[in-house]
Amino acid sequence: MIRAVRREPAAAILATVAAAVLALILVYPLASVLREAVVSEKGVLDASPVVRVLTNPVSRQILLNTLVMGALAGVLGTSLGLAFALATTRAVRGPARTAMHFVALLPLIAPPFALALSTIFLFGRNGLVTRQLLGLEISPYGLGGLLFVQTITFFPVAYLIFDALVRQLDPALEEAALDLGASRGRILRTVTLPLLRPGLAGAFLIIFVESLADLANPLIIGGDFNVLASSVYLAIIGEFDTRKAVGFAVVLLLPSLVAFFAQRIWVGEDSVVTVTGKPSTGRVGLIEPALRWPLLAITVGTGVVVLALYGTVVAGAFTKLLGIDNTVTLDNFRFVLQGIGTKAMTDTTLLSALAAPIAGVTGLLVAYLVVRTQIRGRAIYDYVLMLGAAAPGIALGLGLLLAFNHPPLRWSGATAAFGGALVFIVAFVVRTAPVSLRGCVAALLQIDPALEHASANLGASTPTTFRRITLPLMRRAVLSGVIFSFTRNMTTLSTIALLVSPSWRIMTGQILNEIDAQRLGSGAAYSTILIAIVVVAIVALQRLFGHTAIEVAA
Amino acid sequence: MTGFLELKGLRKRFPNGTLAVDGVDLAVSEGELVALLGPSGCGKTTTLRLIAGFEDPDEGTISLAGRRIDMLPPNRRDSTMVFQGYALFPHLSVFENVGYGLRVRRVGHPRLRERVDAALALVGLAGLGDRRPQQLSGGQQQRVALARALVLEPKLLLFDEPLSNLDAKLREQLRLDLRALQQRVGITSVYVTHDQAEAMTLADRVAVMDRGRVAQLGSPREIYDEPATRFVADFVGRANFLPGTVRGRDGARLVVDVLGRVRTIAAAPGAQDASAVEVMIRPEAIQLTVAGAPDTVAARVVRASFLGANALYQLASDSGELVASLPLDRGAALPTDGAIVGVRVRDDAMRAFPASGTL
Repeated sequence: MIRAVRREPAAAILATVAAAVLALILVYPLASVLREAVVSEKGVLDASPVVRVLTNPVSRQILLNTLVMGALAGVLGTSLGLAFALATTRAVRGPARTAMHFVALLPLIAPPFALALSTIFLFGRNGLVTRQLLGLEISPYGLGGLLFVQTITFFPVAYLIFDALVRQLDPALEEAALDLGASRGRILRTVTLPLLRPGLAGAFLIIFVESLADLANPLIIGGDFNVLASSVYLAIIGEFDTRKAVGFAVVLLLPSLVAFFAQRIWVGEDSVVTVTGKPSTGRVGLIEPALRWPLLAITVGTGVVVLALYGTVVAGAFTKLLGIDNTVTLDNFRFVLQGIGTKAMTDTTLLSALAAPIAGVTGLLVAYLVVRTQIRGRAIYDYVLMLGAAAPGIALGLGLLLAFNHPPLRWSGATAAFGGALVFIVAFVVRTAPVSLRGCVAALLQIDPALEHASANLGASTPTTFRRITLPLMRRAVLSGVIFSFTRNMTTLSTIALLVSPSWRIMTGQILNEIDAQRLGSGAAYSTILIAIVVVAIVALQRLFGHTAIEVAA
Repeated sequence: MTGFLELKGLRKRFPNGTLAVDGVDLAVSEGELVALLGPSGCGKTTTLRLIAGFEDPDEGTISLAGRRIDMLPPNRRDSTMVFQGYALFPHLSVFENVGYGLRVRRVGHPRLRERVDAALALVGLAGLGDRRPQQLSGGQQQRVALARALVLEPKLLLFDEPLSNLDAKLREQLRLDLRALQQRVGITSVYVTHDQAEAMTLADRVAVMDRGRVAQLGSPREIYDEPATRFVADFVGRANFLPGTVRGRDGARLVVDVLGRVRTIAAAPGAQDASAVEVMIRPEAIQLTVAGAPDTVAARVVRASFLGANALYQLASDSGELVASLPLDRGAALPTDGAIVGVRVRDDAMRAFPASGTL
C-alpha cells in the first residue's frame, strides 16, 4: 500500500480530492435528507415524518400509486423497447431502419413535459383528436395518461439496451438453430429472446427508477393520481413543510436505490455499454411475416405518435390555443421572450454549459480512479457517484436545498456566491456525472492496459501517460458524457424544481409555471425553444469535436 | 557470478494467492540475449514485468548496470519493452509512436526526426512514418514496436512473446531478423517465449522456467543435450522416458540396467543417489534396424507416419513405449504397422533422472 502510494502519488491526491468532493456534493445532501427525516427540530430522534407516510391512509395510497406506476411503466416501456429493437434489427433494413432508430431516440431529448403538454393538446378534455376529431369526452388526467406519456418517454432506454444486445448476438447461434431445422419463429422464441433476458430485467428496473423519479408528468397529467415525487414537491412548494417533504423523499429513495443497485448487480457491470463480439450481419435476420406485421404495426404506430407529439409542441407554440383557437400567431414567443424567457434561456444555457464539462470530467476522473488505480476502496467511489443517478431527482434536489441552506455551506458563502448559481451547477453535475462515469468506465475497460504500460515503459510519468495516451483514447466517451450532461441539464425539472434563486431562472421551472397558470401556448413556446437549443448544441458539439453518434444522448 | 542485469531471490505472489515467481536468480551479461522459456503459468512473463516495473516484487532485488532498479517506477528504468500485442498507440502515427519516448524526454525536433527515421530504417520501415498502426500488417506492427523500443537506446531490451501473434512462416523469418538486429545493436536483452524453437534460434542462453523458478540456465545446446531436470528434458524437444534400475556408479556417471542391458550413462543432478531412475532418450537418438541384430531390443511398430523430412515411429518394446524420429531416404518404404524391428540406442545418448517420486 505504501509502495502503491509512493508509485502513484497522483492517484493518491486524486482519491483524496474525489472523496472530499463526493462527500460534499452527494453524501452530505442525501444525509441531510435522512437526518431531517429522523431528527426533530429540537434535536431529538424522531422518525415521525417517515412513520406518517407509511401509516397515513392517504400517503399509503400515494406510495402504492407510485409503485404501481413504476411497475406498469417498466413493463410497458420494456415491451415497447423490445418491440422496437426487434423491428429495427430484424424486420426492416436500410433507410427504414435508420429512420426508425432516429424516431425511437427522439423522446430522449424532449424536455420532460413537452410530451405531456402535447398529450393534453391532442387527447385532453378539449383535445384535437379526442374532442375535435372524435367528439369524445375523455380526460387524460390520471394513471392512464401518465402511463401513456411515461411509456413514450422511457421506452428509448429499453430500446437502446435491446438494440445493443441484439447486435451483439453472434449470428452463428441463430444460424446454428436454423441449420438444426428450427423455424424462424422457433428461433426467436428459443434462442434470440432467451439471450436477451438479461436486458429484460435491466430495462425494467431502469424504467422503474426513472418513472419513480419523474416529477413533471405526474404534476401535469397525473391529475388526482398523486405519487411520491410530486408529493415531495407539493409539500415544499405548496405547504412549506420540510419535514413532510423529507418523509416522502425517504420513502421514495428506498425503492429507487434498491431497484437501481439491483439492476447493476444483476445485469452486471457495463454489460450493456460494452460492445464486444462481432456485429451481427443479420443473415438470418428477417423474421416470419406472421410476426413481422404486428411488430411493424406497433413500432410504426408508436413512431407516428412520437412524431405527432413533437409536431404538436411546435404547433401549440405557434397557435393561440391549439384545439380551441387554431389561429397561427407568434404571440406565445413574444410573451416568452419579452417576459422572463430570454433571461431563462441564457441562464439555463449558461449554467448547463458550465456544468456539462465538469460532469464529464468528474465521471472521467472517478472512472480512472476505479478502473486504473490500486487505491483501496476504489469501488466505493463508483457506488457513491452512482447515487446521483440512482436517487430520484426530487430527493437529490431536496438534499441540496437542505445542504445549501444550512451551515456550514450557508456560512461558507457557497450558497450566496454568484447569486446562488453554485447549487444549480452542483445539481446538474451530481445528476449527470454518473452517465459520464459509466461511459468512461466502459471506454477504459476497452483500452488495453498494455498501452499505458508501454507509455510508462518509454519513460512517461503517470500524469503524462494519462494526458497523452489515456485521455485521447477516451475522447469520445468524455465528449458523449458532456453532450449528455448538457442535454439533461437543459431539460431536467425534478432535480432543480425545489431550488430557487432570485438571480437565476431555469427554463423547465418557467415552463412548469406557465402550465400551472394554464398558459399552455407559452409553455409550448418555451418547450420549442428548449428543444431547439438542445438540438443546435448537439449538432454544434459534434461538428466541433468530430463525429459522435446521436446515440450519445442516451 | 555478477551480471549486467541481475535478479536475486525474486519472489512475487499475486493477491489471488498464486505464487507466480518463486525465488528467481538470474544474471545476464552485457550484450547477451537470454530467453525465458516455459509453459504458460511458469512465471516467465511475471519475471519480465518485474524487471520492467509493472509489478512490485515481494522479495528480492533487481539491478541493472550495477544499480538497484527495483525501487524505481517503470518510467524511470532504463529498459524498454516490445509488448506481446505490440501496444502501439492507435491514435498516433507510426512516426509519433516511435518518437513517443523521445518526446517524453524532451528531445528537440530535428534530433527527434533524425533518430526516429534512423530507427524506422533499422527495422526496414523507412517511409511508413505517416501511417497509422492499424494500417500496417502484423509483421510491420511488430517492427514498429521494436523501433519504438530501440530508438531510446536503452540499457536493456525486454521482449514479451513479440512474435506470438504472427503466423508460423512470418515468425520464422522475423526470428532470424531479430537475432541479426540484436547482435548488430548489441543491446542486452531478455526475451520471453513459450516457443522453444524461437528461444533456441535467438538466445545466447536459455532459462527454462518451471513453476516460478529457473529450472535450468544454459546454452541452447546444454539445455537440449544435458537437461538438468526431467521437466526441462520433457519441455525442450521430445523425450522418451524408460524406467531403469541403478546397478552402480562410475564417477559422475551411473551404471543402469535399461533397454535390455546394463549401460554406463550420464546422470542429471540428483540422480546419482537414486536407486531407481528414469532414462531419457531423444526420439532422433534411436536407430532402427532388423530384429535380432546385435545390441538391439525387439520392438513392435504400432504406427509409422511419414512427415516429409523424416518419419515418426511409435514403438512398443518390453521396456516400454518409445517414439523414434528418423530421416527417411527418398523412396524408402515405411515398415508396416505391426512389424517387429530392432531398436538400438547408444549409451551416450541416454541421461538418467531420479524416478518421479524419489526427488
